[in-house]
Amino acid sequence: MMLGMTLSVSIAVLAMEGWAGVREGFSLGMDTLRTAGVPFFLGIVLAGLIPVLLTASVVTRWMGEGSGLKGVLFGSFAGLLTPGGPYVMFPIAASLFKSGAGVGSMSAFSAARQLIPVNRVIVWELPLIGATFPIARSLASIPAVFIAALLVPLVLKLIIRTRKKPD
Amino acid sequence: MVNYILAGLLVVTLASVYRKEGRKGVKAGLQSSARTVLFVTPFIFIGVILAGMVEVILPGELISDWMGEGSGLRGILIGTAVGMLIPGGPYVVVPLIASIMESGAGPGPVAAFFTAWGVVPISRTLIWEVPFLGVAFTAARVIVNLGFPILVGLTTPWIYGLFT
Repeated sequence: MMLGMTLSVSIAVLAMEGWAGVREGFSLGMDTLRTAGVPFFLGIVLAGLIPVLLTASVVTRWMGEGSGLKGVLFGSFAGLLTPGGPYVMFPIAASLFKSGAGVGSMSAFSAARQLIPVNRVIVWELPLIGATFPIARSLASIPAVFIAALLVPLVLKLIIRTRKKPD
Repeated sequence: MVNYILAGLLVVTLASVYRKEGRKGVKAGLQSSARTVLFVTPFIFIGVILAGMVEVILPGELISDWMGEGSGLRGILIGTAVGMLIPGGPYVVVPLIASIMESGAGPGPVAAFFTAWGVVPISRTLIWEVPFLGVAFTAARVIVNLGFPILVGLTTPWIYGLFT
């Protein structure tokens, strides 16, 4: 599917911008790979090692189903601190899920990591945008983390229930 | 900078694993990592090329024209839509945000844009999230998070106003 998408968009670029556009697109992609390659590799290795440290019992106790507010807070905290891009965040999230983290906690993890990641705010937002807007946006985003932790598990249950219904 | 942080975390993690589980633990952990790398590498390659292609054809003026101060809910909705469509990392989006704010985009639409790009970007969700976290969780998360760009877009100007 991804290959199909890539090919179709590449053809669109060819039609709209010619071969120069395709070359530019490819080189932009390679730039990303160059920037992202090392952190990605490090992130994956990190994600592989985490289950050894954070054993299933630890993750389940602090972030498992039914851990309630504690799980949400731990998930949020972990999310805030996780650096790198999607190539780091998602392997780590998958790893935590596998070790027993609950949906509520991981929803908080994702929301915190995507809305107010400490690394991105300090390294990118503050230097380029200033302090006022990032701080205002971050404060405005805090309720969203808790809304996610509350509602995503409910929606997921609905989805699973709908899937199970015989046609 | 991120690399140093990650490398540091990695060293600490390796040391902790070794202390806890010895050589065998480190080996098991690294083997699991190797399996993931092998699985994911083709996705990354295709994904970055896709993102690069989209970056070439996405029109830049759309953003500055429609997200100005006082564009109200329309500006927020447009910011949301653009944020969902734009691929690329913070090294693409944050400078873009800095420049459109300078060109007069209001805090509401920009917050909606940034939030949408953060929580419900179409490219990242399809390319990265579904393979790692599955369709069901991703769908549930996206459905709930879809409301956030509008929520944050509406509340940010108010908080921003308190500071300025």
